[in-house]
Amino acid sequence: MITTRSFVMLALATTLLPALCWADVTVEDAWARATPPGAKTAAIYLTLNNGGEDTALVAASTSFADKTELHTHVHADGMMRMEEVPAIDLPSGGTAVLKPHGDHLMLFGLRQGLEPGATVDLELTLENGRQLKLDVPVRDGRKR
Amino acid sequence: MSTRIPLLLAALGAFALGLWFAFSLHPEPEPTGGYVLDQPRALPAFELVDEQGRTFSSEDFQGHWSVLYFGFTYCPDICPNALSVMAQVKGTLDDVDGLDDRYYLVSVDPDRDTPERLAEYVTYFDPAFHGVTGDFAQLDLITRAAGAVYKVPEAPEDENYLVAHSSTLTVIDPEGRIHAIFTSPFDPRTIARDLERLDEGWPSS
Repeated sequence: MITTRSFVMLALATTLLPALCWADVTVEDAWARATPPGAKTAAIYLTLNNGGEDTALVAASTSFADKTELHTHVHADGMMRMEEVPAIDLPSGGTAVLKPHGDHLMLFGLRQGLEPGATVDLELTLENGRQLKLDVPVRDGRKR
Repeated sequence: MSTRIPLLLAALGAFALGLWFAFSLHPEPEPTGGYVLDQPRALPAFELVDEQGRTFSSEDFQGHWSVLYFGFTYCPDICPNALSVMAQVKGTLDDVDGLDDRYYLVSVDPDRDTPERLAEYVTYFDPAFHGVTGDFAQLDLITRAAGAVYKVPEAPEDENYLVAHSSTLTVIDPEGRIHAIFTSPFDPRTIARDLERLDEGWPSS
């Protein structure tokens, strides 16, 4: 009896807990930079707010590119360098801002150009296993 | 490549010291967006190729102001920002009579950046922009003179590699010499104003 009840409780907890965590990570200000003709790469920027437990952004993907990596911007030896990172930390109550000249999502093997006004499907995977799906608007990065 | 980097860094260091020296001795009020060299630096003879597939040499800098950005077209973040800044600078200066200014992306990634690729990339930012590239020996002649540094991966796994590079806007004067350098972050209005001032102070204008 107790075993069964415990099992049910545990099952409920494991089902609901990640859902709650997921709800606590929100995305805002997401945008993809429109690409020049013939581009094979692109970048997506967004802000992640984490109102839940400590977690991290560990992966991203879109149907627009062969490969999407988490990138940071390293300034060393007088040079700017983009470097892949395994995760972008999302501490509890914290915010991660992915923006030009900083952390960003890097799209390799772009399958089609990103035109202003279009939207890019994006799936983000968090360390706790939850996934966030969103449509990212494409903006013309040439304008300020 | 591994022996090239320390040399480039040493060159950059010496160049930075020279810039600082030039800057500290200059008696005139300075533009605030970058550094004007006290003694403009002549470029060595080089041979590159432009976005039309034509030979491009140091002679092609003669007779007008040029703004150079060293980067590559597969660059998704820094280079589009810099080229957008150049487009904004050009847009501001298009209204200035008598200022002959030209803008170039110098690609340090010649293996992927063919003239055709450069053409479609640079003209996206402004139809009058130019792209030039060439083999590494020729590129190094101009990057060393400009104090620019870059590093292409030696054996990339596939075509999805990134090139590390310095991010400056280099101003070449109508005599084809390096005249001023703007460092990141760039402010288009300040750069446009400074270029206009440089032109106003130019003897032949």
